[in-house]
Amino acid sequence: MICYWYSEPLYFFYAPDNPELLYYSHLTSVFLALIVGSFVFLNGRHRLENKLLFAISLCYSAWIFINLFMWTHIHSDTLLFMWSFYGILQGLISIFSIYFIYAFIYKKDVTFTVKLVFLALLAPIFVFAPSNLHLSGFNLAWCDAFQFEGEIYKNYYTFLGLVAMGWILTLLVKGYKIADSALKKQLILMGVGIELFLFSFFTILFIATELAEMGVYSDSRLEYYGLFGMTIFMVMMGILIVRFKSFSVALLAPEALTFALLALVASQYTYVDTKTGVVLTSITLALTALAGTILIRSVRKEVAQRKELEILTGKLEKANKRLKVLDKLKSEFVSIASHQLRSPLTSIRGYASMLLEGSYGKLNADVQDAIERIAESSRMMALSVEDYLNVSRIQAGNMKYEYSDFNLPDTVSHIVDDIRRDAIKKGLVLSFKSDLSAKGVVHADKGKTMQILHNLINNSIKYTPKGTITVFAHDSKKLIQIDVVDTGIGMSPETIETVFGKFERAKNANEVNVTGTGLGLYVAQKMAREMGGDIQAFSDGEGKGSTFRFTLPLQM
Amino acid sequence: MNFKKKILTYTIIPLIIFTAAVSYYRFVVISDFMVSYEGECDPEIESCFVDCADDECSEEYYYTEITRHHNEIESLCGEDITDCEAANSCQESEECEILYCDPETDEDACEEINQDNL
Repeated sequence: MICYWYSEPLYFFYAPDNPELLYYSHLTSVFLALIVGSFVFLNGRHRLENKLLFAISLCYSAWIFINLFMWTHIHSDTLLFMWSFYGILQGLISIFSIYFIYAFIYKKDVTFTVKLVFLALLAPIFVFAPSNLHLSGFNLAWCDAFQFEGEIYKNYYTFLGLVAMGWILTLLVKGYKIADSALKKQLILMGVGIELFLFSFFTILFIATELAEMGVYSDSRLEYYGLFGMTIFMVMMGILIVRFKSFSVALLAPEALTFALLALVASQYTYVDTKTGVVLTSITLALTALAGTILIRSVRKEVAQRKELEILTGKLEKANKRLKVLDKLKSEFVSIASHQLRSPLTSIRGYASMLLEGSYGKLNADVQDAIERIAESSRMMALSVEDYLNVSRIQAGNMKYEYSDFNLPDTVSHIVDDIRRDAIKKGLVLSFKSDLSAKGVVHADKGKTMQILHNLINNSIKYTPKGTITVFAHDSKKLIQIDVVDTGIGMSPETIETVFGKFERAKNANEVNVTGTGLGLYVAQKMAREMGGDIQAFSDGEGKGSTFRFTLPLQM
Repeated sequence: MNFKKKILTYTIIPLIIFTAAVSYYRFVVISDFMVSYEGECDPEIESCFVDCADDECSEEYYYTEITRHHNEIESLCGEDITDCEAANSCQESEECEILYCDPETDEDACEEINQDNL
């Protein structure tokens, strides 16, 4: 039988005499619920909380479908058949909400006993849904069944909503106590969203239907205010997804923004009633969709590039760590090997020296020459071993410095005097000049400072085939600078950049000197920096000589 | 083990199907439910409910509330009870009730019997 005061609906769901806000409230909330629910489900089907959120959105959408059917259709038999699902869907929404919150907080399934409790709570709703306890008749004049709804049944499923609110609140409070700060923020958003949804959905629906049954209102139109709770809930879900990457969904903010804008623009169709309005809304919708698509594509591209970069950075970081480990192993090996070499070298050098001094009798010229070569080679080897050991000490942070005040120009002068013999042997002129305005006292490790100066001057002798080497002391403000200037093989700009690296030698170094570990300048610079100074290299290019500047702070 | 884990799915889905089938059978197939509608009422001889015929309430109309089994009234009037005389009385009916307005409980909704006209 049909409701005799109403006409058949147009386009299945449209009845001209229905309030406009009815479509706005129903369609907006169901659109959001389906979009968010489906998106979450499709992005993480294996996750329980994703499935449950989808189940809630499906139940809610089914409820909306039935409700719109009620508002527009007029056949009493089909209306009653649909009406019988109200209680079932509201009961399922209550239980799924509790289940969802539990899975969201604890990331695990509820126990079998809790599932049995859920079933026990739902059982009466299912069993009595088609019975007179739920529905006994239909009012053809008002086209509803409010006056034939069983109070006990209706109160029970509304009460189940209240039970869900209380149960969820307890779960949220318990979860909040054990959660970390990030999860706490998520629980607040989630709690506000779902509690508002359940409260508005169950209480406003109950009040609206009660008022309709009492005859205060001719229909239950107040119920659509209860549906805005779902919109708030879905907005909270959107924030959780975008801000906290909840539900393992990598939704981008532009995607959410585009969906929200489309929903907002599309919702205008529910109340625009002029042709111009419909056309303008359609154009706005198309433009929003186009702009949104472009925005999403470009952001996705950027995100993909960023992810790729993150992967590469991760790999690089891993490789770097591995290299550091290998470097440490190598240093340890070098250190152990150097220590093992030093003891026999000391013996070789000692006995060679004693032989040369005649401790074992006078040597003929050939033997003398051979022993001199042994002494020189072992000296070079001892220097190399010392370099290796210094590198090991620097890397392990074991290099010890004994600081004292001493006059640097005097020290430099003595070193130049000591080394001059070697320079003369090679046909070079080694001189020392000073242009100091201060006394030139520094606070540093004297032994290390001498080692640095020896290294720099010996280097210049090694790489200067002919010409002069000038050691020049001068000061600038609070610094004393010792320049070792030679007319040697010089360096290219590329070599200057790398010459202080470990095992680095100038490309043209082998042309004049095949010996050398490539560690001397590395060790010297590290020691100078540790004492508050530095060493820098300058050259006008290959074949144009070099200048090495050793700087230390002056003791004022 | 799997049944315990998926007990909700294994019970809720069959319950929904079962409930839907029973509801469909009761409400659509055998139409076992009551319907209520507004029957004709003469305020001069009966205590009628009174209501507005339009939103502006420019005209009033009088009615009684009749509750009857769906199948019974359908067999008398078909799908639509508009202009069906048989719908206004409970003659030859087993499950039929006509509710008149009670001035004590329904107050302003009633148009009381005009004693002068009796």
